[in-house]
Amino acid sequence: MPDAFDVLHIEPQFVVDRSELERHHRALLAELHPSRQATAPAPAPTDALFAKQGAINAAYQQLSDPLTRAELLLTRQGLSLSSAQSPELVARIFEQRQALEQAVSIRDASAVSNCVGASRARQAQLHSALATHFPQGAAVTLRQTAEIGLILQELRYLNKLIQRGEQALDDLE
Amino acid sequence: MTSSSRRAIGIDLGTTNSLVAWVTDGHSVLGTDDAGSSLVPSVVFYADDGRVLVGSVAEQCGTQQPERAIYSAKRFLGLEHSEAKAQPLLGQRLAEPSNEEESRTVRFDVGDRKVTPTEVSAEILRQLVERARQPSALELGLVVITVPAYFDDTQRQATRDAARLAGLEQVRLLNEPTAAALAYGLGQRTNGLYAVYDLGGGTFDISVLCLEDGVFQVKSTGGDTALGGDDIDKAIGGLLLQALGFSAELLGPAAVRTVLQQARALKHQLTHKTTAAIQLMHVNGTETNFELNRHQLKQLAYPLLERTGKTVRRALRDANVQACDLNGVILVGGTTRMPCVADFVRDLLGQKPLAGIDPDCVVAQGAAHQADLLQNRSDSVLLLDVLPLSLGIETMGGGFERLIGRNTPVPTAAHTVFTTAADDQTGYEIHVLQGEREMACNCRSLAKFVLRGIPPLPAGKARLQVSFCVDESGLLTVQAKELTSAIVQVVEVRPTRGLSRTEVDRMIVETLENRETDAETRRLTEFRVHSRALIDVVNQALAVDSDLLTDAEALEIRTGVQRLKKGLQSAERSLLLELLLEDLHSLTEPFNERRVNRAIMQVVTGQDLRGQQQ
Repeated sequence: MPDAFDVLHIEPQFVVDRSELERHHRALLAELHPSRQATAPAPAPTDALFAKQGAINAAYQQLSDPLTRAELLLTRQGLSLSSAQSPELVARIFEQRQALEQAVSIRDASAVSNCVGASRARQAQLHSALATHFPQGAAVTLRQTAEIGLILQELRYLNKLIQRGEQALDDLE
Repeated sequence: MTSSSRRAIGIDLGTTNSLVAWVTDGHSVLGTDDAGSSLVPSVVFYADDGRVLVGSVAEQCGTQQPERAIYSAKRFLGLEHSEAKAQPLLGQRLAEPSNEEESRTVRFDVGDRKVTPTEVSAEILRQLVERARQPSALELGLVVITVPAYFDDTQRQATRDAARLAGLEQVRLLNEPTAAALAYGLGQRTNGLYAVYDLGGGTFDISVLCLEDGVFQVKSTGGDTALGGDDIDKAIGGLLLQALGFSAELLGPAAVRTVLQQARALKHQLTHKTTAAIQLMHVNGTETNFELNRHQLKQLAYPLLERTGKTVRRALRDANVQACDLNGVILVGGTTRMPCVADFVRDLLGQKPLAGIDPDCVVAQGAAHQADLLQNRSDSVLLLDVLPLSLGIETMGGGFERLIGRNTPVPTAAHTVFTTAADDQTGYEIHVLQGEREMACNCRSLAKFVLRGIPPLPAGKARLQVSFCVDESGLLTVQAKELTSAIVQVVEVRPTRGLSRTEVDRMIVETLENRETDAETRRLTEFRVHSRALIDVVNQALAVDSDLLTDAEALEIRTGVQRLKKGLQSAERSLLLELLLEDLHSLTEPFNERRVNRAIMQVVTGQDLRGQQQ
C-alpha cells in the first residue's frame, strides 16, 4: 500500500522541502479537480475521485507535521518504538499542563499565551533535534531509535498542550 | 441550442443587496434594471393579493406595510427558530413553530402566510435570473451562486435548496472571497499571496489565497456568519432609541425597521462626511436633532472590528504565514467603504488595501468569470477552495471526533471505523457535527441518523464505517456500512436544522401550482423531482442488493443512473428527461422484482440472507 511519501512523490527522508511538498500537493489536487476532470476523455466516477483527493489531503497532513513524518519514516524502515515512558518527561509535561490549566481557570489570556509560546519554542527545538537523528539517505540506528522515541513522545504531549491552549485562547479573547 | 450560446451567470446573493453578472467577450457585465441600477436590495414583499415583489419596489412597499417585507433573509438561512428568536433588534415577525419539524427552520410571518428564508432567497434568485435572461428570454447555462466562505453545511444546503426552488438545476456554490480574488487576479495576473477581507451586511469572511500560474489556492479561511454592517446599524439604532427614551424590547418589528433605516442612513452619510445628523420625532410630537460623528461611529464599530481582527490572526496562523508575507489585501463588501474599517484593515495587515473594483460588485463579477470558465471548460484558471469548519461525528461520552479538519482542500473524503458497545446491538445512532470544539454539544449539529441491520455480534465485533464526502461546493454527503457482513447502508440523513428534501420537493411542486408557469416548464420541473427521487432509490438499492445483479446488469443500471443525472443537469426539454426516466424505470424492473422476492424470503425464514451469502 502506498504511503504518504509515495502518494505525494516526495523523497522519503525527514527533511522535506516545504515548497516542494506544497507544489506536489497542489498539482495533484489540480489534476483531479472536478472542473478539470470534466474535460478529460474518460472522467472517473466522482466517489472514487473524492476518495483519491481525500487520500492526497491526508498524506499532505501527515508529511506537514514533523511528528507524523518521523513516525511514518520509522514505519517505512520497519522499526517500532518502545512504549516505555520517561518519568522525568511525564513529570515535566504534567507541570506544564497544570500551569496552563491554572492560567485558563483564572482567565488570564496573556499567561495562556505564554504557555503556548513556550510550548511552541520547545516544539521547534525538538523538530530540529529530530532532523539530526534522521541521517540523510541512511537507515536509523538502534541507538537513534531510542532517542527519537523520547522526542516523539514529548512532541505528542506538546501537540495536545498547544491545541488545548489555542482553544482556550479562542474562548478567552 | 449549444451550451456555449447559453448564458452562464454569476449571482451574489447578499444579505443587503444581490447582483447578477455574466461574461461577454471576456469582460463581466452586471445585470441592471430599467433605471440602470445593478444592486437589487435583498428585500421581498408579500402583498395581500398574493403577489410577491422583490428589490427596491419591495423596499418601497415595505415602508407602508413593514410586516409584509422580509429583509436580510440570508442571516436566517440554516438557523433554527430558537436561534433566530434570540437575536436582538430582529426587525421581523417570526411565526411560532407548531411542531418539531417546523422548529428546525425559521418561518417569517407575513400576514396570511408563513415563508422560510429559503423561499425568500428563491424569490430574490428568480428576480436576478429574470434580469439575466433579458432582453429576449435567453436560455441560461451554468449558474454560480456565491456564499460566505464560513457558511456551514446547513447554510450551504439551504442556499442550494433556494436555487432549486427558483428552478435552477445546474448550480455551483462559490465562496465569496474566492470569487473576489478571481475578479482581481484575472485582471492583474500577478503571482503571490493575497488576503481577502470581506465584511458585508450580515457576514464576515477572511481568506488567505495563493495565486500561482492561474491556480488560485485558498490556504485558509475564517469568518463569522453573524457579523456585518447590520450589527453596526443595530449599535447606532441603540443610540437612537436611547435618545428617544425607548426600550428596544417594547418596539414592534415595524418600528425596529424604521429605527434601523435611520441608523443606516447616518452610517452611509459618515462615509463621505465627518458628521451626520437626522431629525428624531418623539412620541409627543416634538423633534430633536440627533448628531453622530466619525469618531463616535468608530467607537461603536470597534468591538465588531476587533472580532474580525481575531479571526484574521487565526486565518494567517492557519495558513502558516505572517501579515508581512502578503503581496496584497483585497477589500470586499459594502461595509468596507466605511473609513474606519479600511483604516482598521490597513493597521492590522500593515498595508494599504487594493482598490480598483467596486467592493459591492466584485463578488458577482468573480462569480460570472467562474461560471464562464466552468461552462466553457477552460483550463487556464482553477480555483482550489477549502472546507471552512471541521466535520466529524459525536463519540461515546459526548466528544467530537474530527474526520475532516478545517482548511482541508475540497473536494475531499474521509472515513472512520468504530464498533458496537453492547452484545447483539443491531442499531447505532450517528450524529454528524461541524465545528472546532472538543465537545459535541459545542459544535453545530448537522444531522442524525440510525444505522440499522447490524448483524447481532458480541460487543466490539461489528465494524461500522462512516464515510464523509465533501464536493467542490463544500456540500457534505454521508454513507455508512457494516464491514463484517458487507451490509451497506446508504443513509437518508435527516438534517437537524433546515428543510428536509421532502419539504423542498413539496415546495417546488406548490410553487408550480401557484405560479403562472407554462405547461412545459411545469412538466420539466416535475420530471426533475421524480428523477432525483428515482436516482436516490436506485442508488440505495444498488448499495444494499447489488449481489442480485450480474455485472452486466449492474453496469447497465449504473449507466442509466449516470445518463439520468446528466439529463438533470442539462435537459431543457421535459421530453428528454421523461425518456431517460422511463429508461431507468424499465432497466430496474427485474431488479425490483428480485429485491421484493428477497425481502419476502427474509420474512419467511426470519433471517438475513445477505450475511450468509458472503
